Amino acid sequence: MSGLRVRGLLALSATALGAFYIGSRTERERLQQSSDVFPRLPGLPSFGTVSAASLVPAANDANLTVSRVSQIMKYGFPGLDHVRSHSDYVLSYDRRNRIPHWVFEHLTEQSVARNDAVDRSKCDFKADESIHPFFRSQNTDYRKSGFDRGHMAAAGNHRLHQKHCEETFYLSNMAPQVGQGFNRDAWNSLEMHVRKLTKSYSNVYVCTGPLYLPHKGEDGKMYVKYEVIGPNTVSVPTHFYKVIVGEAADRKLHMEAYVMPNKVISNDTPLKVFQVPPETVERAAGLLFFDQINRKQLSSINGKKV
Amino acid sequence: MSKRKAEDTSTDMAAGAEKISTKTNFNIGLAEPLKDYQKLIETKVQVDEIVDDEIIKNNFEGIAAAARDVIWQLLFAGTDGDGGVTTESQQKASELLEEYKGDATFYDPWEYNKWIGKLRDEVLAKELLDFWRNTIVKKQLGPCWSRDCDLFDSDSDTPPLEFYAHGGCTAPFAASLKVRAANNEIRASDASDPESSREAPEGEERSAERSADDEAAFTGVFDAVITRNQPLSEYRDLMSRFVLTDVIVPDEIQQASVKKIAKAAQDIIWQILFEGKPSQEDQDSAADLLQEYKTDSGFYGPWDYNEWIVKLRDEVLAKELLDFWREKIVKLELGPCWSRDSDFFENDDDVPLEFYNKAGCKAPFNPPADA
Repeated sequence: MSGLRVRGLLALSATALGAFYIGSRTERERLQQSSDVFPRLPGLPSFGTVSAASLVPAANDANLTVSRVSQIMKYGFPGLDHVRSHSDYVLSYDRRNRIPHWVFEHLTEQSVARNDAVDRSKCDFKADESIHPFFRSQNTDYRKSGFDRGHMAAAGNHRLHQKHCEETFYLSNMAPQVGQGFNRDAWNSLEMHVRKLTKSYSNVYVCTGPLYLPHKGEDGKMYVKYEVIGPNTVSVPTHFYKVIVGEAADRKLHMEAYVMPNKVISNDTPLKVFQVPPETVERAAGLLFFDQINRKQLSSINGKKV
Repeated sequence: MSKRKAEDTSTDMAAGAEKISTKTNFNIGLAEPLKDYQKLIETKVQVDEIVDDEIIKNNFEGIAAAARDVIWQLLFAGTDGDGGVTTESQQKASELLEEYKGDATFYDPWEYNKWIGKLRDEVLAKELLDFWRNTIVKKQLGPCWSRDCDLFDSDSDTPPLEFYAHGGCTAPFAASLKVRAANNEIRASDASDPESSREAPEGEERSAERSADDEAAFTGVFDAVITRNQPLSEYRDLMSRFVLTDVIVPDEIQQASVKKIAKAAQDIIWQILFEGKPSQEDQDSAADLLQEYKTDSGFYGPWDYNEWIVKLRDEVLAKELLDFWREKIVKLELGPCWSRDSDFFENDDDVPLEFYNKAGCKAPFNPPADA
């Protein structure tokens, strides 16, 4: 190969690389400027940008970024049906049951801390217009149904920005929950417990969702039976789960899994009673949680050493 | 990707929603305030069509404002407007207040919570103590909180105890809150107690024998022995221990296990029927096992059975066990499996009619009409 050709090739490739760099940079800038008209990105896995070896700081801007989705979904997607991402949580929507399959959150001590800049009373339960009307739940479905509009991604987990909090009030993030004795009590205690974990772990990842568990009928056969409410027949799950992974400062991973029945639970029931092996939740839900973690690499499951 | 945009359908569905206009004035009369109020809610708020949430919200706010005005008027100006407040107008106010609070808990507790404080102060200032005690306190019409509203939960929101602590009253729920607080303290001290972490008896309640069976089922290493004593129950025992387990067994191993047990069943039936003269009892027990074995074959794979049952039949006829032939094989339909016995077959498969056409018998079933 003559020196001239090599030089020609070098010049050509330098031009090409430069053009690519400038192009991608302007594209990035354009995206940053138009961040408030950012479309709802499909939450597709993009783990390439995240290294499991680095602890993730709490994101401090109010808008959804691709990297925020990959932070939240760092340990894998439980499923890929109708995935939607909001500015601070990711949701998979079950169009048949009109409630989520699962929601995924990433919490830090900062993101759950009390924040006077976030006003709960400005948050309204609102129908999610991004869901096709056939599969949308509405306030009317829940009204006088005897059930609360129960958050899957809890409002109290998203206190960095007003916007984060408001987005947890989409009805696509709700499921019918027994109010007194469950949503506002026992389930709330579990949510508080998860928030408290941010004191012991630098990062807490939590997946929450509904279950429709079978029980034995009078004829000895097993049946799945659950109520549906309102004109849109929103399903009332029999149980709810939370599967949680805490990242300790020493990089060790700790998992907890809970299943709670959607009914009045007495106030003096300790949360430990609801701990279950994570595999049982996976079988019942038809999903795999934290699939990117080898279970053998966990330091503890439900407080017991692995 | 669906070509049908959400918008197309929402315009269709919203066609019925056009009558939900944003009105600015909602009238609630003093004659039947509760009825007027309910009708407004029904037609302007509680609608099944898909209506923009903003519109519903504005409508509720308008109706709520009208309700607040009317309650105020009924309580402090009387129905006749001359300041004479009658029991009747208090009754109306009480009904409307209760209904309005019920809706406020769902649609907008914040506005209610702001206003009810003012109402209370006015009620106490005007010394309407009966209304205070019997309506507001007794019916818990104070601020919405986690007990009556899903916009609140028990950790972030303080119960409105203070609201009720007037005119010699206390909140009707004060006692239960005390109990709860006490419970929480006990729980907190339990949680810090390391002794409370028990091991769950997960999987350990299974006996060792059971898991040995599971192991055998998983590997397919077991002896299939069926004796003349209790052939049916021995067969069932083998099936339940080594085939019908909860452990996930590779298909080929399970098939081998089923074959092994089937072979044992075939051998013992042959032995009972053809080694010497079988008594009636022998014939009964052989037939029982044969029936069970045939049923299982219908599920696990009927091909072996269908081949072997022809040999058995020929031997039965050769040995002139005509009772067994007529009373058992023909009557109990123990011939080859077909679509009546097994989901391996479909209706257009052959019907094993001629199997039964021996020794003056014929099949105990009619051939399908279209055969």
